[in-house]
Amino acid sequence: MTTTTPETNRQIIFKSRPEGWVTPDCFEMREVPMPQVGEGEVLVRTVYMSMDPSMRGRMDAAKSYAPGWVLGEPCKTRILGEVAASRSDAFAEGDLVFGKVLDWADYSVVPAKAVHKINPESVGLPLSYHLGALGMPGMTAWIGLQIAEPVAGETLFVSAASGAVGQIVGQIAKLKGLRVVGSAGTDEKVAYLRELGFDAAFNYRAAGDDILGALEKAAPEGLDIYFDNVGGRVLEAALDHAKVRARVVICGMISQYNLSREDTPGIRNLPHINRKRIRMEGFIMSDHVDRRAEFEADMIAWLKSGQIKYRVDVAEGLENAPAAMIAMLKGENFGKQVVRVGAEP
Amino acid sequence: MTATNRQIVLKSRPDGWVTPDHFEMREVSVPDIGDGDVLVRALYMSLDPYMRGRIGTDRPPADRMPLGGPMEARVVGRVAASRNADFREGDLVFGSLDWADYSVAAGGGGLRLLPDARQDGKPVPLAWHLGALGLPGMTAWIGMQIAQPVAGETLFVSAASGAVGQIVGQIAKIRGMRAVGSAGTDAKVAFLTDDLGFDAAFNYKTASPDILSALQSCAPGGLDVYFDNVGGLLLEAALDAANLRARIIACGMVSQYNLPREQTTGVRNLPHINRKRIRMQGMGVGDHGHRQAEFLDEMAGWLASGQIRYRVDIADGLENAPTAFVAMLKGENFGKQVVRIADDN
Repeated sequence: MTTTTPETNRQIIFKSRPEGWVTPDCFEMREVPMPQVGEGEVLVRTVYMSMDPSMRGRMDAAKSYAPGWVLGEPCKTRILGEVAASRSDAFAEGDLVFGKVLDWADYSVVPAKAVHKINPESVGLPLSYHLGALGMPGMTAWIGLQIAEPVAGETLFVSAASGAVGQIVGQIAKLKGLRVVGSAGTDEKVAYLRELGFDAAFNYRAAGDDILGALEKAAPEGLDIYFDNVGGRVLEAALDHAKVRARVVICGMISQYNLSREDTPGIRNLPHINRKRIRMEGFIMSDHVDRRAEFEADMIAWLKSGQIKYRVDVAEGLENAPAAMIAMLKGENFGKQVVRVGAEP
Repeated sequence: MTATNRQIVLKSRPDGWVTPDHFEMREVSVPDIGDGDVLVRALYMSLDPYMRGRIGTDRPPADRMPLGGPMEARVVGRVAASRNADFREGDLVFGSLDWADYSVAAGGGGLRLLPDARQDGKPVPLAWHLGALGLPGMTAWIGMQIAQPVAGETLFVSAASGAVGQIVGQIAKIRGMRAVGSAGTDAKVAFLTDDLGFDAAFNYKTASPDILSALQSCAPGGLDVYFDNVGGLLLEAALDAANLRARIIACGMVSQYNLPREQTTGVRNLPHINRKRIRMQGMGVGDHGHRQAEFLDEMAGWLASGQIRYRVDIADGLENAPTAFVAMLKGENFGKQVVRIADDN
């Protein structure tokens, strides 16, 4: 352990399950002694911590694809950090590593196999990208677009388009020759989408009850692909505006995660799926991990050449992680939400 | 020819439930035929849920049946007069014709001779050419290919004693699946298990509001395929009971067709599509017309071997077609609904 490693570690504990919206009461910070590093383990100092919508599912008792958080234990997330101490031959102090299931904490001790070194080809790109464009959200966009089977000249619509996944979806779609339309929740986000090269974008909040009208204006020709990150009323509008044989890729439905079933506005126009012979398909990135190297090669090249740009929203300090998660679930982040817990090396 | 022809025409467009008042019978002369035309005496006529979509206002005008014109249906009939070398007087034919005693197939368009199909050594009833061997049978056959069934998996089909559902369940059994069905009366449920070989079935009306429990007791291992003929609350229960990577074939959503959107049951659990990586595929048999010969061949084989049995519900008399149509949309038919206009056999 380096001499600079403190004797205590701060962790954020999963204190109580939310009913509906997540509140700060669901979390609690505690200080514990710095853990001992066992044989075959590494101590990771957290630099960036990822805030992902899928974390909401980990807070429910119901089974989800994401393993649930355990009450009284630290919340878990994806982390980019630095090896502070190692009792594994695979890692040396100072290595930059990524891990999928580390603690919301200044430091985590994990088996060496729980982390991997970052791709050396990525050197020069911002470290936070490993949680976004180069991480799970970027690969989610890359896989989801393949499931959508895009054809040059078609029109794609993506919701939450300035978010962690949406930014990448729209830009890859442009590289594939599609016309790209996005929705977001503020005028600043809409302006940013235009900067990224989206052909059209609209503010779904300003559209109020007439999301369909705004979508029709942005894509008068109709939709061949809808990349759904939000569900709810935006999905309904997309089904209304879909063309025959459209593909709807269900990546997430963040508008629904905080609602009990009784409070959820149901989707009322599913007969379109039958009438328009729509294919609606859900997917998660982790089913496709065998394609990781292929994804990284594509994405590193696109980021280095500037063909894909990426915006990260950085919250400062471990203590602000609960607030950052809640804000993200409400769409208040602007770009991929991360928390900077410790200084970059 | 001076004989009288009765036709049923669309008098007004329903908004909400269809009633017999939306139709009207008129008498006209049996038309003369020109060169290449065929005059068909209707024997049986098919009533199908898709017709509801074509008489309302929620489709583009080009897809609607015209007001004041005869309704269109699939008809089995006998050639009454022919000026077309492909058809002779007395031939049994199938075609898309009028709700009428007589129709002209201009240029013989869309007419085809009935294929030879037998069960227990005898020709199958003429009405089966509108069901097991017609559009519903082919819909089931195509849908079951899209579903990519695997032996040992569990399939659930709603409206299981209906025109399509009967065939779906029996194809599933041929493919080595466990077949579960739902229907709206105890007699239909008994028919599914006792006569058609379904492994389990339930009455969704008596199970309501806890449809999910009824489904789970019929399919304790969850669902791999849901063949949806009804939408609404049954679709919601099927999404709840679906296994990872389940396939949902959106064949029809008859529970939704008579409702304006404000009164439509929204489906509130679509996040399952993402979480469980479900593929939901809309289908229309019209996209697969080129495969008809292959379908007829396979279905005729299954009928001949007795692997597929079929039940039709016959309403007598052209004048009763509107009442039978409304009853079918309410699920009051038991088996594939047809109207006997005449039977000269």
